[in-house]
Amino acid sequence: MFIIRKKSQQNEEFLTLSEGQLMWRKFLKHRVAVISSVILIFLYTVVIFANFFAPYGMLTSYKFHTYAPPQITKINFFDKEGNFHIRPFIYRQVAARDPKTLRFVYKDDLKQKDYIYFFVRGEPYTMLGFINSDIHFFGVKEGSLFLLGTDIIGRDLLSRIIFGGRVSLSIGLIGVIILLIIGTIVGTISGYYGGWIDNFIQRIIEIIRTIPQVALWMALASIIPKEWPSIYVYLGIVIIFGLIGWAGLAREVRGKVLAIRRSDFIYAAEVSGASASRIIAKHIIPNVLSHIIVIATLSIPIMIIGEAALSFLGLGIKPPMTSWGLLLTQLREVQTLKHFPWLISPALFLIVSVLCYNFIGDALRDVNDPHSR
Amino acid sequence: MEENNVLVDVRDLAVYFHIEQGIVKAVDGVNFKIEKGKSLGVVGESGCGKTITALSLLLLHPQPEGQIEKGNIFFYPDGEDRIDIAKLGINSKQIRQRRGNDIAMIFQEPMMSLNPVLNIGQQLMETIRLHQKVDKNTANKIAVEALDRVRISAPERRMKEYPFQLSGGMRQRVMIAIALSCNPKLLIADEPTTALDVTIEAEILKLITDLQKELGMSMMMITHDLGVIGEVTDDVVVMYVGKIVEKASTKKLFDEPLHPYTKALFKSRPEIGTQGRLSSIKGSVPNPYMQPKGCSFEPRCEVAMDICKKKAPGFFDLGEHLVSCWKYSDGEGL
Amino acid sequence: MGLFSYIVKRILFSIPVIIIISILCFGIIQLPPGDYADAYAAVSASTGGGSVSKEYIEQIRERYGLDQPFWIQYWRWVKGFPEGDFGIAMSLQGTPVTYILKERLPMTLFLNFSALIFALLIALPIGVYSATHQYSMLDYILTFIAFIGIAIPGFILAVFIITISIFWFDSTYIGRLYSNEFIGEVWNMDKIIDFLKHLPVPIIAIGIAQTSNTMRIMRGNMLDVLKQPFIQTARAKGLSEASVNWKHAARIAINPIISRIGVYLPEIIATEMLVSIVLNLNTIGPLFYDSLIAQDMYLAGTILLVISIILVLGNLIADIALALTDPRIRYELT
Repeated sequence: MFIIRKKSQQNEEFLTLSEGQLMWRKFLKHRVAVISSVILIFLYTVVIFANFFAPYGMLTSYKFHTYAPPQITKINFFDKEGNFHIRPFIYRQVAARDPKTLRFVYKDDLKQKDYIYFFVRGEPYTMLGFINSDIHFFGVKEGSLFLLGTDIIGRDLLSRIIFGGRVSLSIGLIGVIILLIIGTIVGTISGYYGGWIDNFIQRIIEIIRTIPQVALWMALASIIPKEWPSIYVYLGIVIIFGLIGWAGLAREVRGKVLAIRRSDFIYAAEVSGASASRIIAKHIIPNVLSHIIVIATLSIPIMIIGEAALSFLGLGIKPPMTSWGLLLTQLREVQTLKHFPWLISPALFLIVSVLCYNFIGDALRDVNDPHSR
Repeated sequence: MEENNVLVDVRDLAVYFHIEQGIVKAVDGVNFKIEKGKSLGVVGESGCGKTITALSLLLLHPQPEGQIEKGNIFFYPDGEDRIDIAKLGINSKQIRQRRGNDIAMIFQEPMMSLNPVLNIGQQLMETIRLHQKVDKNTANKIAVEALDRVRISAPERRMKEYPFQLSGGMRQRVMIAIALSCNPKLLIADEPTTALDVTIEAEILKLITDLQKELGMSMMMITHDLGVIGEVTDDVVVMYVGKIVEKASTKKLFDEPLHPYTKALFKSRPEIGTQGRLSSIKGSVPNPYMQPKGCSFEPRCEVAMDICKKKAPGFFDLGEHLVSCWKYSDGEGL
Repeated sequence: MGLFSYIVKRILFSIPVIIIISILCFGIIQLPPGDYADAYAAVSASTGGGSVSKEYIEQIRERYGLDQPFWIQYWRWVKGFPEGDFGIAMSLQGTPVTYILKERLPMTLFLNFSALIFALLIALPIGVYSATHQYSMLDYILTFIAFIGIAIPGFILAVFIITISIFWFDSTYIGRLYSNEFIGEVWNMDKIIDFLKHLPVPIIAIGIAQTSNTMRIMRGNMLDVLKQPFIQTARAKGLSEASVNWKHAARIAINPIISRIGVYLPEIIATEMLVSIVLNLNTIGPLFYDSLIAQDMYLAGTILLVISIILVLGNLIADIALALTDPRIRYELT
């Protein structure tokens, strides 16, 4: 058979690519996964430099702007007379107390234009422990810019989402590292040595997996003393996720190790006198590494959702720290969402992050599979 | 050959695959006839298009990438007008009526070719009840008879067994039983013994030829093994890279292979007493990214001439022995 | 017979597992510092009931044996099992745990299994369709919906649905499973209809993640199966595409999903717990949550144990179902 090439002829060079490069190229073909990666990198950058990107501090509240509606839809380039301004602006939001409900009602003051600037001076902060500054990525010089509205005590939701992202996005990563280490070690030992060790470990894994994860999370989370400071609570949650999640990974790893264990090249290594640890390190682990990475990537969104669920129920992150799940606690009162629908925005960030991780994990799984095109 | 002896008449059939990188001409203009009651062999290396040719007779070629670009597949069923299979709709009622009924096919790997979760009886009766209007009991009887005919012992017991409980040879017999259960006019066999042990291979081949004579069927035997061709077929075509390069009766081909490719195929078979290195055909099947303008075998041909590079040869008839090679352009042998 | 002894063996093996789990469950509940008496005091203090005297706390402790070492407490719990006594719920005025569970367990089971069946009923046909119409517009849309379904946590979806329903439909059929008039009433036709109207929201919220997941897995399995040789054999018999897809391909594609029901169940149970808490349904979820906060170890421990047992049973049923549908597995067992 010969092929007529519709596009231009390629030269006859046969490029040899390393396996890593081949996989990278294959990954790049999954456009959705690539877009997801870009989105995640963007999100992580923003939350790492939260103080800079967020227009306001995490805890700063504005007494006279409680439950202010989002202003993101009110950004204008044209003013009411039809003039175009290059710099976007909003009309200043003024609050007036409704005499009947005593709640704040918001209107736009059409006489006041607040221009939006980049790299504007705002609240001072200490970012990451050593960067002192007061420059924010964007903001207004006077008035207020609550792009996603405010909450019950007048804290800017967007800023809290950005700071909350630190917790929500990091718990998954750190938890996965713990899970990876424990799961890989246990799974490899179980699969490599077999026999009673394997049996014993498998029983333990079975037992752990028999109790539903969520119930375990809840139970273990309720162990965390109420008096602990936020940061310890955070660490506690991370450890809990790692401790419960390793079972699934261990099982997968064991399966793959078992499959490879009987291969001829392992026998060859053993016969030539290689020690068990050397065989494991040099031969077995590299072969299961790609599967491990896939499982790890797909475990991260589970932890992100898990943290959100726990915090939502009040069993997770405690104030003053905040996370996307915690931000959603207000929604447990159903009426809240009806009156202040913008409060559901943290959920959007949750969903997007989880989607991105799922897409990437899927693509990685595809890349690993030797049978896909 | 008189017309009413012909069962299948394939004319200028071309099947192209439309894939991302371009178009692959899997079958590039082939012509052959299958006569009633006789068997035709199709021999060639892997990838030469013989399987696709066979599949296209039942419109089973991979879709949607594969399309019949041109050509006719004339089929002459008993007591009916001829039909052109190439013009029938894929998976249309008409072609499905023929499949398993008038034209049956058996495949290469019996293990993978039978549904693992259905028992033998179910798979047999499925075909029988599909094409024949019989009730369950009659179908059962027909199925047991079919198993008996392919010389499977204790056929009633086998009906309840599953493919994984049978040996390779037995599975292939089951496949044959399924194929023959509705008395087809043509049996297409695609490398039926390639996956079997040599001793079983002999049994199966004998079974097939016996049944063919018993039932007065035609047969189309696809294989890369010249030994099988020699044993089983009446006529043979040799295919290379989507085209037929030589066509003759099996006896004539074995007596005197003409095309350089055919000759090379014969030479590369190890024979008892062979010493030294086995001969192989130099070079390999053409690089898909290069497009020969002339004869497609030229790069590997030991006796290639100048014209072979420039123009593709047509067919030269040396007395009921057609060969597509410039060496025979003046009607003389090499 | 082989199947029967397999089941018996499985059940026997599960017993030590369950015993260990019961110890674990009980232990986990006890882990937080302090005990029920302390939690009681803390709650009283914070809800404005005034602080509770030390003597009263000690009384509570004595009454429920909270000052005893772990093993004694454990034994007190466990020894009632054979008689169906799982201790008393201290946080609910000492009502026996069994009574509370009897009230809530049936509904919980019903919801969970309905959600599971809902997920399967919807996901499987869609998965088959997606695979057979690969790359069609509908396939892309369905895949997209599936992805979103997997990404949105059930409880968030529950919140969402509630809001939309109240906002737009002004529906009172959200939250809780019965309208007020029917609580405690006998099951008559009206109550059933009312119940049915309340059902869609919880079941969708609980089931959607599994539905989406199963859809994609089914699609993947179908695509894999459709590549197998026996599919070609089935077509060669003359079967219609629909028969090939459903009688052959889908039958095999389903097996991995059935074997994974054991994995689906915990996820559904987990989602159900969260959704129930949000929607304030009277199932086990909210009960568990409250008992954790109150450190009511008999109640919480029993619930944890019961859930685990449900899982073990669910796994067992799934394995039996798999053995029934896949003869290869049945064969290995006998």
